[in-house]
Amino acid sequence: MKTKGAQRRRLRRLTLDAMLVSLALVLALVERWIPLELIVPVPGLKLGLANIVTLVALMRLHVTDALAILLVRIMIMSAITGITTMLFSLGGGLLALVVMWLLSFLEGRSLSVIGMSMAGAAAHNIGQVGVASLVLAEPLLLVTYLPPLLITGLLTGVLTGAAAGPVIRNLTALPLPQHKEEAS
Amino acid sequence: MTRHHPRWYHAFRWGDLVVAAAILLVAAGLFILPVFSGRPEAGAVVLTQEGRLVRTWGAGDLQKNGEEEISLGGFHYRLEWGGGKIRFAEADCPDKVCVQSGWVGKRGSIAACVPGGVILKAVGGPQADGDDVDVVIR
Repeated sequence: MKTKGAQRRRLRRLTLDAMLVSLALVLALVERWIPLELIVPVPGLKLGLANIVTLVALMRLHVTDALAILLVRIMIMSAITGITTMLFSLGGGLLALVVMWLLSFLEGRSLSVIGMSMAGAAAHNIGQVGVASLVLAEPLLLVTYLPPLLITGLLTGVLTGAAAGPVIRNLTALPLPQHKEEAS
Repeated sequence: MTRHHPRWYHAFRWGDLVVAAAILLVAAGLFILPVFSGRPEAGAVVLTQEGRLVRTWGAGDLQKNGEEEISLGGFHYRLEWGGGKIRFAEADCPDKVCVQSGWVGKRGSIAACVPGGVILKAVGGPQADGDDVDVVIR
């Protein structure tokens, strides 16, 4: 009985993670259609909507779920954007995840999800431009591209954090893997 | 639904401000860095692909209007120049960061297409006194 229960929980976790991957993919695709650069002329600027999914997974599931969702999303997106872009997404995504995970221990006390999201956006930009300047061996990229991205990232970070907050709060009603004991 | 409605600022904690301030500080630091090294007006602009020099435009070349289409690193670019500056006018790379980067002319300015490994960078002009542009970023 016990193994069956464990199996069911594993299946539920896998299904949930897969759903979140597809959600993150849809968000990542949709944001490519938003011509943000026409409104704010900052090269490389993105809303970072897929970060909402990372935040939700981090706060409601586990850091390993967030990591798995991130990696699968980036791998699938590389089919559209190419291998080089995948490298930046990896650099940005992993750095953002680590920073947000560390900050998640402060969440609720000295920090909100919005603060996590702002730090995540900044870390994402630093990771992405960092990998780019490494790949091209051109440190000037950091000075040119990073400052405007960091400043706009504050705004997009507030937006994605504000969007993720209510989702995280309201998801407590769902029987998620973390709450398996109460659920079964 | 009968719960009280918190005001927008209740979503924040004091630590959020610390995070925002830290990010602004880093951005300001990176922004100020090149200012100290000075940015004299245009010298030459070089086009490189993965470190290999593809083309150079002298300060004189950039004064005349011109354009050129070029295929590099698997992508196709249209370069446009005039008035002492040059830009990626069009590109078929995925993110188009190079096009969004706009004009390159002032020394130390740069436009990069990372998927193609292509960089357009303003360097010291022919009269540059040997201080390589790389000094700017140190």
